[in-house]
Amino acid sequence: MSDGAVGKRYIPRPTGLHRGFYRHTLAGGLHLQSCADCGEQQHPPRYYCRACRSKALSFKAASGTGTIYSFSVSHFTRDPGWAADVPFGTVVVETDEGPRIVASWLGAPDDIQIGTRVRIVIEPVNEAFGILQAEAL
Amino acid sequence: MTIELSGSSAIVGLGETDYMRGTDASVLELVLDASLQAIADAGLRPEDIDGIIPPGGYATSEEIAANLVIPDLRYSASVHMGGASPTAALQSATMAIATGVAKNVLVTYGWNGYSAFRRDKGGEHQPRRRGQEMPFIDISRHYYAPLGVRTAAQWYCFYLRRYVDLYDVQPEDAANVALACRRHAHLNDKALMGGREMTLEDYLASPPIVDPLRKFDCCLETDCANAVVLTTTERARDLPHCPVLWLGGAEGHPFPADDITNRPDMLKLGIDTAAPRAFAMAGVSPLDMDVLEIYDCFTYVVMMELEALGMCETGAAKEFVADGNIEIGGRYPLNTHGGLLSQGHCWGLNHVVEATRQLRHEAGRAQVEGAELAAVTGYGDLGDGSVAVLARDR
Repeated sequence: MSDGAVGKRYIPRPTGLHRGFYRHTLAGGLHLQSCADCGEQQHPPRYYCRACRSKALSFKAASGTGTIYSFSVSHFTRDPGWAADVPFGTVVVETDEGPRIVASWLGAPDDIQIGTRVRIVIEPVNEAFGILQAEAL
Repeated sequence: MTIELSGSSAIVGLGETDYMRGTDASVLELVLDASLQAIADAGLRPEDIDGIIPPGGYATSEEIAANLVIPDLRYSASVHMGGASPTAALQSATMAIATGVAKNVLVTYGWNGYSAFRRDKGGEHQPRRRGQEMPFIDISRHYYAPLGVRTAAQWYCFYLRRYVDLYDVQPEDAANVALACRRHAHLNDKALMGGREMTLEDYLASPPIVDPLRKFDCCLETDCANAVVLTTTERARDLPHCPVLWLGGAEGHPFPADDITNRPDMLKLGIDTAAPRAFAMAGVSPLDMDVLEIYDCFTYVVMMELEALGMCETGAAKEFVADGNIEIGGRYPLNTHGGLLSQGHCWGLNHVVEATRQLRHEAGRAQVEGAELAAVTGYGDLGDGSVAVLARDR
């Protein structure tokens, strides 16, 4: 399943709508797909607006801030590129705009709490892809 | 013309390999062995089979027909809902049978669930074939996998975390599910964990996998295959075993099915929408069930499924699974074969097999006395679900 590698980590070569998501986010911070007809913002990017089914969609810069909605702490991984990071936290952030983003937690896994305010950043891997990360505000 | 599906088909044959950690047999060979057992158990011959629902990604209906020498296959369908597939497949089989498209349908699932993940441990290493990727592979590739999130335990914890926090679910609550399945495994000849005692202390001491999941919250990984044969209820009454009727069933999907994290309510499972449809079709209430075979990939997921099925209020599963209620001898015996947690992992087709045995009154030491009605659940991928309500023929 590997399209590329950084060390041993699985790194995708983004395809379809996800190419645009990662390209915009690498260039100017978190972007969310936005509907020109009804204003809905959505993630992951889709071919139609989830609220009104319009195709008038484009990526718009988001605030990059949000609140932790859920999380997991992995004590085990099948990915050899993440073995050294165990235990590691993964957070589901509800952005202030509404859509939720999954991100790698930059702090200690024990510190993660639902409700914490966070900032989403991206760690570039190559010109097409980066790893979404979150840290407490 | 309206076709009445409820009670139109019956399960007439069962097949089951051993549940193994390592085998030289290929997946296809395991599937064929289980299929031949089921066909013989039904009192049929392989050439009587004219419909096949195979395990997508592991064996095709063409391969199965070629090897079993089935010359005239009339119906084949593929169900791709992960662990929800076998139970959902019963609905498709019933539709083929009730419409007359096929007479005798074989539903079979098998895999190298142990060997495919362990290249160094010997045995046949056949992972899922290319072109048969998980239905949510696009989202997983782009947004989960690059964060080291590669396994079911990690995906499901996104909603299990909210479930345990919202309803104050403690490890001791989930332990009731693990302990019940382990106790039942001791009564099942094929259970991998049969004879291996588990106490609450053992459970609490088992290592963390992904919070809140401990090792003993997680299902087994085994190489195996199961098979069932269905036909019309009329024909079933001429065959060797007491027919077990498909009284009703349904499939359900959360929305969006291919991404957990952007669901408005992350705690809604496919079973939430499938269960009311299944019980309405069957004309019975969940509380009428004598036996429950619940897809037990993880203990906490079983708790959510019980609520989605309608066995108890949302958040009340921790009470439902306590005090022996789900053990043989209790009101709602659950996973009387040991389940995926303690028998073996055959995608939940082993739950259909066990439910059928219970309703035939052929479950041996694990027999629930007078069992007439059973509910089976399937759960797969990112929360897709299926339900089947089975009944002993009168």
